[in-house]
Amino acid sequence: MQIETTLKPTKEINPKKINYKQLLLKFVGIGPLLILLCIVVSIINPAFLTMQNWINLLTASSGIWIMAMAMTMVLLTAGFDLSVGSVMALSGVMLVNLLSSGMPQILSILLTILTVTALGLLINGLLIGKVGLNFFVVTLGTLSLFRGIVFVWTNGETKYVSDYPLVMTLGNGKLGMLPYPIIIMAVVFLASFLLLKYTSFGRSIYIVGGNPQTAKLSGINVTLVITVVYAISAMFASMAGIIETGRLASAAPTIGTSTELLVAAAVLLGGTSFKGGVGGVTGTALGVLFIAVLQNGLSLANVSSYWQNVITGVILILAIFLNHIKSKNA
Amino acid sequence: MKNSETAIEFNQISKFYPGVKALSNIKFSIQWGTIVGLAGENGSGKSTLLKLLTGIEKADEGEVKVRNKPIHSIKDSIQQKISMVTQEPSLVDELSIAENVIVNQPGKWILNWKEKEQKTDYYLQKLGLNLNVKSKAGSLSPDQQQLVSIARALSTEPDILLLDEATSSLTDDQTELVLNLLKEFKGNNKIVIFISHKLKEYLKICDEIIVLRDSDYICKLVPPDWTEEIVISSMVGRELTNLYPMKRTMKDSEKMLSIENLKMNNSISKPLNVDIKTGEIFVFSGLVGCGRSEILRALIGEVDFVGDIQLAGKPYPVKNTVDAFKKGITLIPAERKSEGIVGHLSVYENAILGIRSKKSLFGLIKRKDELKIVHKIIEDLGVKTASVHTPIENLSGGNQQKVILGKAISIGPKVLLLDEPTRGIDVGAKAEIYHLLRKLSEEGLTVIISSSDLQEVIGVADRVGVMFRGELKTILTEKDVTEENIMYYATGND
Repeated sequence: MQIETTLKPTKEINPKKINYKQLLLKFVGIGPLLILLCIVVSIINPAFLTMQNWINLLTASSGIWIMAMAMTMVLLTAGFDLSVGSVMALSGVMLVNLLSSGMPQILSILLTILTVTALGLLINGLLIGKVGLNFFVVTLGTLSLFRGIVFVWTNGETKYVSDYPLVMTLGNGKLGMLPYPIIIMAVVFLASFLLLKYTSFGRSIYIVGGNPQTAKLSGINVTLVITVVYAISAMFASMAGIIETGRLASAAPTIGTSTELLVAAAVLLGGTSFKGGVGGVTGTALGVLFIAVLQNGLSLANVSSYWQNVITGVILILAIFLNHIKSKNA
Repeated sequence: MKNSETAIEFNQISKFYPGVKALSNIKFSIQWGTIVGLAGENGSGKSTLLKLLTGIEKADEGEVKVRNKPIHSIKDSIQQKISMVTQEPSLVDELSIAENVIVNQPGKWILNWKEKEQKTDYYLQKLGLNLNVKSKAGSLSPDQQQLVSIARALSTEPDILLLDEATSSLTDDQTELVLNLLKEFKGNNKIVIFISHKLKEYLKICDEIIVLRDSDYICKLVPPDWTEEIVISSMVGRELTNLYPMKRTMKDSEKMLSIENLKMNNSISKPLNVDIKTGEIFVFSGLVGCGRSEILRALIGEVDFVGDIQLAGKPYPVKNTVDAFKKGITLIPAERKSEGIVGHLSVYENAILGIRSKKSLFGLIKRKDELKIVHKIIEDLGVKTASVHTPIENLSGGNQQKVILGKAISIGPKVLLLDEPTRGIDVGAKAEIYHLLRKLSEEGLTVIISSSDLQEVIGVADRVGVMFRGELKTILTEKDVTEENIMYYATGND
């Protein structure tokens, strides 16, 4: 394009100047911290490095992992979903009830996921995305609502599912060496990663979180994006609930209580910000692993469960603090 | 004999940001009782220089001295009675005007509300504002907020007042008032350091103009040997031949947009009738708050309205921005940072938004194709950026605006709406954007602009619609488009 002004470009900036401080800060991210943690734990107890321990560790964190993937998307839109723990419990209870009513297993599983996703879409999604209510208030409400339904429905009793092979397989079965929960974790991660990186919807999540007004003026359907994100959150939480039901061979009404906070901790550790528009599921995966390794390591070191909580808290704050320093200097 | 001593001294100042040199070896001094204009293109280092004086930023080399004492911190700056007003008003929306103006009452443990309100009222009156000081700051219009920010700075009774584009959202009348106030202020042997995008303001009030270019000190200009041309050529280092493109007269063009009895759901709006022709640049002019931005917002469905709008001969009912976008009308907002860009995301992500929105939300992305489009946008619009993956917030305002413009036209809209298209943009980028808009209009794009910059209005418009309190007073064409005519109708005359 020809513009007839006598302008020359302004001075170019030299991009090749190395900044040693930034180079150093590259190593305080969640990845290097995780490696450091693994080294420390394996020195304290070499049993940490065994295959079996890793399989146990990963399987135990499968629920948090799956929910954290969706929570990443929610945080990317500058929102938060407090209801995931309750949704998880609701899914387990619904599955057990459908099964005991005689419905075929595969149908029960699909119907559970479908119903719970619809609940997430219609309550959390529409109230936050369409009506414009505050996400914190809405999901705080559904946290209580769903947990309440679970207790009313079960009368506070735990239901057992050992009679249903498909559900048991999802929680405990193996494909060759690999347990199904780990396979599902991998699939969910990959799907989330690809969704965020290679679909229009995924990129829109970043734009909506980064600047909703820009998104609107650029023709992005902000309402739809936010609504769908909360539906995905419910869907992933229901998947986590089903796996957990199989893994524990039961659906307890108390399952998943305050899990949402652990999920949020993992997402934040992974570098996704509350401010929206910054982060991704790769960081989240590392964040979940960090928490899992930390808890596993403390158990292996025979630290009492009371102290485990204290130490977990301190290390989480420390890790977030380092992340903050890093992002400030980026 | 305060007048003879040096008040402010910049001694070989250098300042670096990661990868960028903001100031290099700046050396000059300022005497008491002067108004100093700092001129330079965006990114030339003007704002950084002011930030050093406030102690918000520290120089990497050299020293800033006021009354022979170095400024190391914000505390030093406050002790020297330095006060600054920035371009974006930083008011707390939920607090009252009085609380925003009188932020603290030094030496008082218990608040004196009455004094607070009286003092606030005194400064507001000085600035020509007749407001209830108890009302919330958030309820004010942008120009009023700007004046309240100035009132806050004045209320600290500073010796040195720094204005960083503090007049950018003011109307011409308000600016006049503020400039006169500054002259009065300097008369008490005080200093004003003044940055503006409007060169006329410099020429009107400054005693001297310091020109910066690419982080270097270029020269000091003093009257009478300055003209607008000399200032501009010092700023850009070359002569700017034609800032504005050629005009066109649209006699026998077809109607693109016909607006009948448009009325917004707010109290000031009056039914509006106007036909806008294919390929013309139509500018809505008028004082701040006259309702010109609302017309643009109505056209993209962001403001509720009643009335008939026809787009290319067909009825144009519009529900929301997504709907408007699909039908071929898109808006470039006035507030770049809060509405135009997603700051921390790359130039690529910002530029491709339009194309992506046109496709299905649940479709896959083809990065290779997208990169081609982004590179074309950058090339066509002359965006200066290190790479397409640079966060857009690292670009100058002008280059950001070019990316937003590129995004908007990448979808091939029928009508392009621009609200304050060149606010906060340097002269060079302004010229490029004006020429680009003209080229697009010649290719058949209909351009509708809302602008408070009179020179810009006169420079780019084929026709000017002048608004006053929600009413379209007149439409000026050709020779009638003059500053006098626009101001005549914009102030309510018939």
